[in-house]
Amino acid sequence: MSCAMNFASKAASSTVAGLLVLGGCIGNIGDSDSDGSGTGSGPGVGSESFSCDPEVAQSPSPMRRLSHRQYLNTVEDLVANVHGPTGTATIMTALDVALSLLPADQSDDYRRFDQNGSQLHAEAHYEVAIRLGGELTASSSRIDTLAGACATDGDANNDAACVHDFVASFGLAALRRPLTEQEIAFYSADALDDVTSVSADSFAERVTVMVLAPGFLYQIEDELPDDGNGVYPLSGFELASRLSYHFWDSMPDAELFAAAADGSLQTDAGYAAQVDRLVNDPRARVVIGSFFRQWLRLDDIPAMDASVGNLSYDTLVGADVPSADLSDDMAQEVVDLFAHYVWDADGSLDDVLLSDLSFARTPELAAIYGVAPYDGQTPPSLNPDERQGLLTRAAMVATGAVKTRPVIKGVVIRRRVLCEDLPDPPADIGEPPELSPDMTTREHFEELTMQPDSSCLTCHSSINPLGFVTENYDPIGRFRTEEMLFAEDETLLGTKPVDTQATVWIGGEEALVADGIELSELVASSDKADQCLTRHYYRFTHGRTEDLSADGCALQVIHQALDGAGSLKGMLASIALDPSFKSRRSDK
Amino acid sequence: MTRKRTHRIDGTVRQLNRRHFLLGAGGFALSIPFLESLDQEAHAGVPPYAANPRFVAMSTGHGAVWPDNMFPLDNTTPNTFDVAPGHTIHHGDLQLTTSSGVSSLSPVLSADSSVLTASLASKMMVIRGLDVMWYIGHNAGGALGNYRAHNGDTPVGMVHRPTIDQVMAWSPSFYPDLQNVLARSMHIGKTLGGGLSWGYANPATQSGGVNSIPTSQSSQALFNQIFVPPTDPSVQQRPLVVDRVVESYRRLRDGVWGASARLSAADRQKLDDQMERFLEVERKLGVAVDCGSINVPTDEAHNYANGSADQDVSELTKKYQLYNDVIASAFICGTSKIATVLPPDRWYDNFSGIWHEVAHSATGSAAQSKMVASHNNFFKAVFLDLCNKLDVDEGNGTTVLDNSLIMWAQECGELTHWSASVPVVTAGSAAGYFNTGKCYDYRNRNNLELAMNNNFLAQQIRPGLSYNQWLANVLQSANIPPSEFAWPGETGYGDPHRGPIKYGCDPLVTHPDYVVADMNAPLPFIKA
Repeated sequence: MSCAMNFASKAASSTVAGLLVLGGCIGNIGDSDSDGSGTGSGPGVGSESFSCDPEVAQSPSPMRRLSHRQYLNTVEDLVANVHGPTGTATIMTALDVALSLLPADQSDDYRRFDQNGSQLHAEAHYEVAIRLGGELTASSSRIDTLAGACATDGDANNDAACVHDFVASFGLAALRRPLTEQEIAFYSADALDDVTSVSADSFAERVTVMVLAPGFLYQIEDELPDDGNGVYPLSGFELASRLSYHFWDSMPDAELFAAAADGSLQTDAGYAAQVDRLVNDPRARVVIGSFFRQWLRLDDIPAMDASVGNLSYDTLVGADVPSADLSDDMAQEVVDLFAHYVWDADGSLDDVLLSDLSFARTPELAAIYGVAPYDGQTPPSLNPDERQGLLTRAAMVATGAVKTRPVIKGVVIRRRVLCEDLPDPPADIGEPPELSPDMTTREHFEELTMQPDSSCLTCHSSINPLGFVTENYDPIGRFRTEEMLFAEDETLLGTKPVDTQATVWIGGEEALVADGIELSELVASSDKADQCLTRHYYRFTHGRTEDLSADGCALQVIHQALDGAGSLKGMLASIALDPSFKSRRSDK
Repeated sequence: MTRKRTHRIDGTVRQLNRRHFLLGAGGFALSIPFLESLDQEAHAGVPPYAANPRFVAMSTGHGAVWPDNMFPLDNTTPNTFDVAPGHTIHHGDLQLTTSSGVSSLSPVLSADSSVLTASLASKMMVIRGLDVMWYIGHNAGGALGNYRAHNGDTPVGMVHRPTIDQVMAWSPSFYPDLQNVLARSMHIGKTLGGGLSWGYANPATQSGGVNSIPTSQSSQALFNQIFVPPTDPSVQQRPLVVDRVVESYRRLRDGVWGASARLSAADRQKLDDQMERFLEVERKLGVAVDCGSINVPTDEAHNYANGSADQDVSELTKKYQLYNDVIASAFICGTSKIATVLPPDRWYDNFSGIWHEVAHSATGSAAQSKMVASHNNFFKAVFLDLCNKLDVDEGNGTTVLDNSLIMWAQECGELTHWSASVPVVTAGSAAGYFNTGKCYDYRNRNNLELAMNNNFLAQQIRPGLSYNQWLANVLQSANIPPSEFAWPGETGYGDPHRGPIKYGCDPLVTHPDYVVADMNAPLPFIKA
């Protein structure tokens, strides 16, 4: 990592008054107490920010339902487990309508946070299960594939054994652990028609019941007794599921099942090998890409073409008329940026924050950066005078409107990149001042929210500067030195130079920065972003907000993997290597 | 191998004798039979509670429509009544004015005269002066009584509670007979970050925590939920596997297959919740109502207002009118009686700015004109569209609309984030419960305590009566008595917390005691 500027000297210019003003607005997300004392996670505290007290009991791990994505993937992998990739596509197509009934997960944070069940979920699960049972038994050949030749050989004498073996083998995959004889008997019950023969419908019913069973829809972790203190070690199969659902959002594959069955997953070496295999599997790229998308709210990037057809926007974009895909391309670029430093370059978060490489795959987005499209192999270099680092990417600055949004840009950085909490704006804002159309966006918001005697100043003085420093990127993410100004009738009034210099406050220090590149360097030089990513990765992993005390050990492990000489890939693996990942605590 | 004959669904298919025709937005004609049960029940104004009402709630984001744009002018409510010394409320007939083919109750409540007719206006109510009695700010579910789902500081002790649609959906008073009911409630629109409807994880036992209820993402899927195709004897019936599924949950919960003590109480609650949901699935499998020769819609709402067109008014109109078709089908067929709709905030075309900033600077006239247009577009495209689709004969001289309550409320009041005077616009009398064709203004126009800052709109804010009382009135219009819906020690519905209703307000300025004395009582003059 390089850091071109020494911000320490600038930090010395901090004013006590400034800190007092900002201190009244910013809190740390996840702090359990309002005075910020928490367990030592205040801004800029450094690498000692997470503390581990082994005597503190770890947080309870409630039984988790499969997320929307995990459910879809598991159904597909279960079908593939029976039919292999060739036959799976046809069956999944037949399930499309039923699968579409499943509600998307909804959460202000990570989608894995949504553990709510609903009637809509149950009805969708039922539809899928019924149709899956029907599809897997839709013909004699499919029944053969599902349960073996014994199911269609017309010999009633072997039907009982046939059902038993089918339930045992299909149950292992569907419920993700070997079934006991008691369970096999339960799922085999009433299978034989007229006492002796087994029907296609009977097999379909077995399938339906098992994919509606709690062991399919939930991650059940109850095989082993506790250690006497309410902490339950996970069995090999439970561990296999926890690993695969974390890294792949799906059920374990055959190798992971085998490692659980032969006990190697319960050895340090065997476990580490499987963690390494899972992290480096292409499925992990998808899941971790989704994590970064959710962390930075990349799915919320506005459509870039929504305002096309309006005079002011058309004038602003000129020949670069945005396509409907541009916002998705912007999001994908950030995902690719992270992917590069995770899997290709073994880099750190600082590398991402300071990267001078473009990952714009499409000509349209590459043109915005003035570089050649990224071919997936060798990322082109950005113009170092214009753009560097995550915070200057189009995804982080574009609005798809005629104006930029410095306040929103600042809020995203404060909340998502630095993990600082901000109150929602009050209603008591008074009548807005008359704003002249010849004001720049920055001047507009300074007038609106940063008047010296305004109640808005307390928070906006901490928010707005983080957005002002990237005002040299226009609403579709292009570098600019002048801002176009429009009249009420949307005609172009003229242009004015943009001003990106601002005093920002990061990690307890105040600094004057020239632009988004310097802001990136400042953020990278503090530990705040590392701490924040640590917290977010914990949340994504466990599907809940961290408790700084109870989860301190796990947080420390993640942070240490990321800090200093650490890497993003090391961070990804670290969570699985923490002891708390291999056990759960249950409240009675 | 033989194809096994599985369990069959038994049920009585009602013989139906009258048909109604509904032209849907997707161009499909609904030829819908008339249910005899409805014929018998759909009579108006039977005391103490109305009969067979249906309920639709719509909520739009922000609020922040200036009073003169949202409500009929003050001089249209000449009648007065003192609800307490010094607090005079006003009411009057809705006065529909028509000019150049446009009928209007207010700038927002305006539409083509062929759509907003005098007849329809006589079935509407416009209510001003219903306050959430503390500063709620942005919220999801507040319009239906879950005030906890909001941003910002939460009053001590306030918890999530089911929204009134879910109180109805699981009330034996609202659904005394579930024989024809395929969906206790339908949910449409946004849910990210919390939707309009909230209910218990286990509503049958009212346990398991209160969660946001997901919405349907497909109008065709929703239609399939509320429509039973005519029975075809050649079609294989589904096996009834639910009993065995439920048993698998019970065995896990009870430790039949292991040690149940290893599961937490919360985990066991989840298993209980899931069992109840599967039992509800089983109940619905037993429903066999004949909805007549409905042509299954071929158009799909999900195909509209997506991606870059997600705020295109014509696309939004198509999308939500397709959902309106489904609501109308379900109500007329009798397979559901409740719907909630949470549409997106912006119904305004040719806009290259940022709508959030419009809504938050709606004290400016330029932004306000956009807000008025947006709300008016929603009113015409969604609210009136559904009203007219439901205004079809249901016997005894009443229409489905008459026997319904369609309610449009907003996230906030006359200013974004404020909770004073949350606008409520309704259609239908809930089977004769409400006194329609009226404008009710429950504000205390003489109380200046809230007019504290220099904002010219805040200067106009006046405290009124409680929104909780309105919700309690709606529940009673749905046949649900206070003994069933009221929380211990409370009247009305919704947390009764009182606090300063605007940010930075004098903390001592709260709604007076008489406002909360009996929030189960009908709001003045509102009951027929």
